[in-house]
Amino acid sequence: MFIDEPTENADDIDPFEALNVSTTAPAVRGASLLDALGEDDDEDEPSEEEGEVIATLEMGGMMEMDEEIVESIIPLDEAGVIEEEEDVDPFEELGAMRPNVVESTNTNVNDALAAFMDEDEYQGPENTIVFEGEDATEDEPIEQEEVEEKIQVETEKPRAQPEELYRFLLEGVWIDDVLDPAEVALMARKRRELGISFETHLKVLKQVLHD
Amino acid sequence: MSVLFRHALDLAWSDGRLSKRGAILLENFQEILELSDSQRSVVEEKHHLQVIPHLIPRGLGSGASTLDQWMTSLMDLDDELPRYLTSMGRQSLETGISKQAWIEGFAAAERMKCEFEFARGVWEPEFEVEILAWPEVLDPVAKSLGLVLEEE
Repeated sequence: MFIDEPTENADDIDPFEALNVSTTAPAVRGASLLDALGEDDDEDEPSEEEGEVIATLEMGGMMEMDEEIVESIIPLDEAGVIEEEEDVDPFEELGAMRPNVVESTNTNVNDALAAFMDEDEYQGPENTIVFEGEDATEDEPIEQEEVEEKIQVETEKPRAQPEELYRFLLEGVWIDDVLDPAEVALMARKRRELGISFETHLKVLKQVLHD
Repeated sequence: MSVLFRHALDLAWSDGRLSKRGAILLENFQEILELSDSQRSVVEEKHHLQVIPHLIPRGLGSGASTLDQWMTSLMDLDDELPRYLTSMGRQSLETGISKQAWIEGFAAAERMKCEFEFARGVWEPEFEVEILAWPEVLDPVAKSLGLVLEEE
């Protein structure tokens, strides 16, 4: 006789029963345990409805359970599930008006206002009126900074290029329309001082004469 | 620029008429000086307006031969041309060179590819320059620099 051969009484034997294992769903068992803790009177005998549910579970009809049945077994209120429709408005309950909250979608406005309202972050000088005889000690550093900035800007200005300076001198040479040896000697000295080559001199001279 | 070509025009029209040969020589000289048509037209138009109306025709364009000789003499200077132009530049400075004289003299020297030497004669006092008597062929340049009076 082989093991795989079906026996005549195989359908009659419940393996759960044979192994002494409960067929009740864990959730239901948990709920029943909770009920047992909450109601001492009913701990011995399960109700008829619970019997039906267990039977349903045994038949594999868990998916077809009605909400009414589930609620009858596990009250939703007790399980902590509260419907959204039943949200209680505390203002309505107290009979008070809701505060007028304007929700602005413009975040820039809020930020700008917040920047103005946030006094802690403002570090600039206050608008104060200084009368005669009073020392404006707070403004002095600012004035010094302004002066320093001006000096810095002036020093950063590009100096006149040697070519521009030489061009200016050449224009002066031709003012009387006649070139003499003294002027030529002066321009030759200036070329040496400014580091201008003779080729550059000719180029600048052309520009001066053709402008 | 215009000094040399203007002198060429004067020579070509010297007897009051321009021969075909004279016209061809002017074309050649334009190419030697590397003058553009527009540059030539400026000089030529001025010559037609200011000089030709006052000419009395007295020949058949014999000026072409004079132009040919002058052009040949100018080309023959070759190596000596820079020295002459340097010297002429220095002499013009010593006599006092005007702005217009400088522009014309420099342009003429530029056409003869000696502008640097001419400029050194004028603008570099430390550059030693030998004073030379320029050849007659360079008279037009000397006139523009004020070294020779127009009447001469």
